[in-house]
Formats: sequence, C-alpha cells, structure tokens
Amino acid sequence: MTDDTVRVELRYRPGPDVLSGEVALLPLGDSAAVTESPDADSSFVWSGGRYLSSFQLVHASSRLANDDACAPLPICLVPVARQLVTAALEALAEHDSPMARLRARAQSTTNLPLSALQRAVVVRSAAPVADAAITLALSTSLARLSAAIHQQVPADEQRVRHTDRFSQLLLELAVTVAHGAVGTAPGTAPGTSAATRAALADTLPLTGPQQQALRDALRELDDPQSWRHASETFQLLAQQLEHSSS
Amino acid sequence: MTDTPSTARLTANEEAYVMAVFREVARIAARSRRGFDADDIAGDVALAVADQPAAIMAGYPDPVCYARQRARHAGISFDRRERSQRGEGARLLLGPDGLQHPGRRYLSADAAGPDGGKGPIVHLADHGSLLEVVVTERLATGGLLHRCFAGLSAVEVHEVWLIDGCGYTVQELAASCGQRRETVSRRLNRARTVIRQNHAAMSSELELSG
Repeated sequence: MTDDTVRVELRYRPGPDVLSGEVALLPLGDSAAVTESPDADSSFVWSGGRYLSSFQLVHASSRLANDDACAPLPICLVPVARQLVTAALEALAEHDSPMARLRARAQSTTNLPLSALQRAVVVRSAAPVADAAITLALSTSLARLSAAIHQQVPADEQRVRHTDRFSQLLLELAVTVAHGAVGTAPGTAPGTSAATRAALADTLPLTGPQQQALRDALRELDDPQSWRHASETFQLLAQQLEHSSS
Repeated sequence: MTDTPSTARLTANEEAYVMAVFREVARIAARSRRGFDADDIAGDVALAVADQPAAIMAGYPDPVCYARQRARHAGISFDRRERSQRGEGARLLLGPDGLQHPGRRYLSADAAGPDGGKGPIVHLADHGSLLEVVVTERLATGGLLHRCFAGLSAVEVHEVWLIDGCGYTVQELAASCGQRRETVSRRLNRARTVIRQNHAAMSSELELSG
C-alpha cells in the first residue's frame, strides 16, 4: 500500500455465485470498523466508518448485471468485479462436475486509489419495513409456488434441471425474504430476486403470460411496499399450476 | 489448507442444496466476520455437506435451516483451526507497515519484554506489537485484568494468556512444559472458571457503585 493506492483482493466462487473482497488497509483497530448490511444479500465493512475494508455480495453475477443493485459498492470496483465474474463463469462452463463447480474459486488483485474506496455519503430515507403478516403471507406463497413448480414433470433432463434450480431459488427467496439475516428484521434480498429472475427461462413449465407476471412480481420483491401485491401474484400462479397438474 | 479431492457425485438437486447452504452460511458469517473468513467458513460447510448430501437433506429438507444450524459451530471450528495455524506460524498477518508477517505476534518462553520483562503479559509480548502496547496500557491503568486473575497461580495466568491471548493450542503448551494434555486442559478450565467468577463479582460491584 502506498499513500495513494491500496491493494484490493477479490475472490469469486462461481458455483454458489458469491463475490467477496478485502482491501489492504492499515489496521485502525476493531472499534473503528463499521459493518453495514443494506439487504440480506450484501455486507460491507467500513474501516473507521470511511473506507471500504471488506465486502460480500451473494448472487453476485445477477447483481452486477444491474448498475443500481450493487450500491454501496464503490463504483470503481464494479468493472473489476464484472471482469472476474465473467472470466470465472466462462472457465467453469468447460466443467460439468458439480464438485468442480463447488470447489472453483477465482481471485484477482488490483490497486485502486484510496479515495475511490471512500464510503459515499448518501442520504437515505428509512427503509420501509413490511408488516409481519404480509411478510409471512409472501414467504408462504413463494414456498407454495416453489412446490407447485417442482411438482411439474418436464419432458427432458435439461428442463428438469432448470425446473429444480428455479424452484430451489424460489424457496431460498422465501426464507431469505422472511427472515433476512439471522438476528435482523425481514428485508429485501435483491441478489436472490435478481438470480431468480435470471433463471426464468422458456424451459420452465409456465406459459408466456405466467412468466411475465412472475417476472414482474419478482421485481416487486425489491420494494417491501409492493410485497402484498407480489404475494397475491405468487399465490395465484401457484393455484394455476396446482390446478393444471391435478 | 489442503483439500482432499472427493469422489462424490452430486445430483442436480443435491448440488442446488449444497450451493444454497454455501450462500446462507456466507450471509450469516459476513455479519460478524471480515475479509475472506465468511467465504472460507461457507466453503468448509458446503464441502462437508457435499460429502454426504442425502443424509443431510433427509434430516434438513430446507438448506437454509441446515445452514443456520451449522453456521455457529462452523465459525467456532474455523477459529480453532486458525488459532492452531497461527501457533504453527502458518498464517501471515498484515502488519502496521503494510507488509505480511508471521501470525504469531508473541515470543515464547522467557524472552524479555521492552521494560526488562516484569509481569506476566509484558514478559511475553513482542516489542513491535501494537496489540501489546494496548494490552499493557490497559493492564497498567485499570488493573482490571489483575483482579480477574485473583486467586490464580502465576503458572495458571501464564497458561490462560498463552492459550486465550496468544493463540497457542493446549497440545502445544502441554508439549512445551512436558505435561499431559489433559492436565493442562483441566488446569485451564479451573482458571477460566475462576476468571469468570471474578469478572462476575467485579461487574456486580461496578453496577452497585454506578
């Protein structure tokens, strides 16, 4: 580390899609570090409350695809992270072993100006918190939709794989949104919702309008004020799927 | 860390389960850990699940529930391993000069401290360590640590400090003083109990006076 630049080490796990980073800052003592979790899928540690010390993004590839979804990750880190994620996913595409996917780990190091890693001063309005009853209804409807999709029997193996993955993501979303992180209030999970949207494909046992409705409802999950409407949509879709399979 | 290659074959469903466990453990660990620790802990848990996915999935159909059950213990195991590695000098830490140094910050045996080596902590501390200065100042100004050690012999204080303060393992300490691991462990447990009692008494005194 020099006066102006610091070394930033990034690590990406393409299997679980988790990106983490560590900045080689001089230690300022434990009391000086501030941990911030803007949502259930991201965590940032600020040294002295000012400079990025480390961070973690869950479902990073889906999240990095959207410029707005990475905040408060310093903007200078986004292209470096995207490059690492893309390279890692391309390299992993050649392997079809699940264990290889689980063990795969890509790392990169870069030097960035310290000033670019400063915490942005953003005046945020207090994040709206959804009513407990709405949260429970949302979680239940997501889990029900997950089960309804999982029960569909696609024709070929690739469709089975997509269906399994999608229903697993819906289940993860149901639990994550309902409980947030351990010890915190329920909250949004923009990484998981973005990954679920990205996993929506024609191979799923859904009609075109159903897919569109699902995509819109998944987008609504990023705003707790829309959770009631999203919950109703998931419930309706689950009913339709259950009806069609019975 | 050395990974032993596994020959296990995961189905698509098992793979999705393992990845979901990884993500949830990473989420939990990131709340209290820094740097790559959360990633390392999540990796350990996920590999353990991948070794016997069917049995775990039968007991815990929901990967998030399983991850929440495992995260705490996984963190403790991770810390133990890190401490053990520090004891072997395997881990490098970033020093105040921005360079990497061996993880063990303290000198063992009878090395003299900066002021000639008086007291159980200064006696063992590395001259250049920032942490040592902080600890010494706290010790000198407050005397709180000495009150916590009341009733313990010098040997017990040394052992508590070496293990809980410096990261040595019980096994290392037992080997260095030519005793059985169980003997050191028993003495350590007794010392910790006394410290907890002293600390509780001191806290209640402070509450009463405050």
